[in-house]
Amino acid sequence: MAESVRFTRDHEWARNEGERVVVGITDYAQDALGDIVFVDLPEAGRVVAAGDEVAEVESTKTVSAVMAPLAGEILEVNGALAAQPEVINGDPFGKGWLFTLRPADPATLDELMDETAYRAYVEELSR
Amino acid sequence: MLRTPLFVAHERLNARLTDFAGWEMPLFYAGTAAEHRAVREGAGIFDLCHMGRLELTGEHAVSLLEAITPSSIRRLTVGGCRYTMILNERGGIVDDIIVTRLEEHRYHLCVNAVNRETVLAVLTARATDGVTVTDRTFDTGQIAVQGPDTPEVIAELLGDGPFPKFMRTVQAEWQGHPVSVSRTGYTGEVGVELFAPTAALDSLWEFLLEKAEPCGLGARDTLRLEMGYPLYGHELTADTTPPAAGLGWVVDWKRENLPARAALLNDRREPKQVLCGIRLTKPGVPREGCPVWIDGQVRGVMASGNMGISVGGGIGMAWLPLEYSDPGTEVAVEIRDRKLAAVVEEPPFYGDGTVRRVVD
Repeated sequence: MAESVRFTRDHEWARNEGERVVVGITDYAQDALGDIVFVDLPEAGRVVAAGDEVAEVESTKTVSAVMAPLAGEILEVNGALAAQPEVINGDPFGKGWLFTLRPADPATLDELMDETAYRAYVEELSR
Repeated sequence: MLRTPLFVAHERLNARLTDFAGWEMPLFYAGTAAEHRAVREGAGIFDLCHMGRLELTGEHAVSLLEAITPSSIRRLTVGGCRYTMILNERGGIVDDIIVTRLEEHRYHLCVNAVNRETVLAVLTARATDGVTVTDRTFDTGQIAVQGPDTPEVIAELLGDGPFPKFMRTVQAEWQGHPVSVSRTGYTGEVGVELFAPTAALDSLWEFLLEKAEPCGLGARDTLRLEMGYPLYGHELTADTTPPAAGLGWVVDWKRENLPARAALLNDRREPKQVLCGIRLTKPGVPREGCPVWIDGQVRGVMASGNMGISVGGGIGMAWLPLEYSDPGTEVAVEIRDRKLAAVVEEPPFYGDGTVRRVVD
């Protein structure tokens, strides 16, 4: 399976890395939230359905739920965010990842938006 | 929506804007956390032109002010600033304001943007012969400079004049325009609020911007919360008296003719609920409206809450029954579906503020 990044309408990204999928929030999401001051992450081992609220990202002005982009089992969470949640603002696609999951059906990743579609979606929202 | 005279400057700085009391205001520029730290460690500037600026003149102005506030206004000397509250007939808080005595018979009132029209109506209705009420909100502006570096930032503006003492105002001049420099603020740091004619604001802002960070309403809120300063509409409402809000000190109890005296005395003797500082002992962020649990029951509700950027944890203010209001009382704040451990704490949460520092 080739590495690919997909996006949800709720502004999560999901990147295929072989057995697992890494999940975070997009640059659009972190920018809309403002300074992120707290992150609540799921327990490893939790089995989730697509669209389940699994994490919370909280900024100085509001809180936003993070949904599981696809069904599967939570493998790891980014523990470094507890001390430095602002990393999500600075590097949302890299060091600001939230959790990884083992997808129940890896093919479901391809049902999400690709980068071109997501860019068009965000542009529509910004209009 | 209303815009301040500095709106174009905010757009140029790429500010994120928000609606506040009908005004389109900067929420943040670089980011709330960075702006918060700039004020704690250096200096920040805030566009406060949205706040109401009202003037009362005439020899009966002092009587009018004492009829609607619980403070002794006649003891305020020329150049003095006083934090007080306008009360309704039940002792409820109509607005919290700063009164500055500019001249023997001339007072300046800085009122909350959300209450400007209400306060104006109260003043106008009660103004008798010999009192003139003028709304200066739109022909003057207001910029706050806050943080330990404030004296250096405004040195050129003050020239040879002294930096004002805490809760005092001095007069300065900027490019031919008069500027009132008041040692007041809402951050817990040494700072001033500048009041100037609209025509002076652009160049004043540009001058300040060379030495201080522009700050939005986001940082204004996290800074005031760390000090436990109340915000109208959250901690203070028309159904709250000053003693119930833990602000009984604004009341001059020696005054014979206190407005709503009986109600104030009653809340001083036995307040039903008191406003308390709350600090989470677990990671999390309390927000307005979160229930507060004590001994297995909901006993109160958060009036404000956020992340304390300088104190490093969730903090806020809550209304609690008197018997549960002692510092150290263990409580739990319900945040969405979880109850997080917290403790009652007497503000300020941030203890290193420079607000009262003596500046020579």
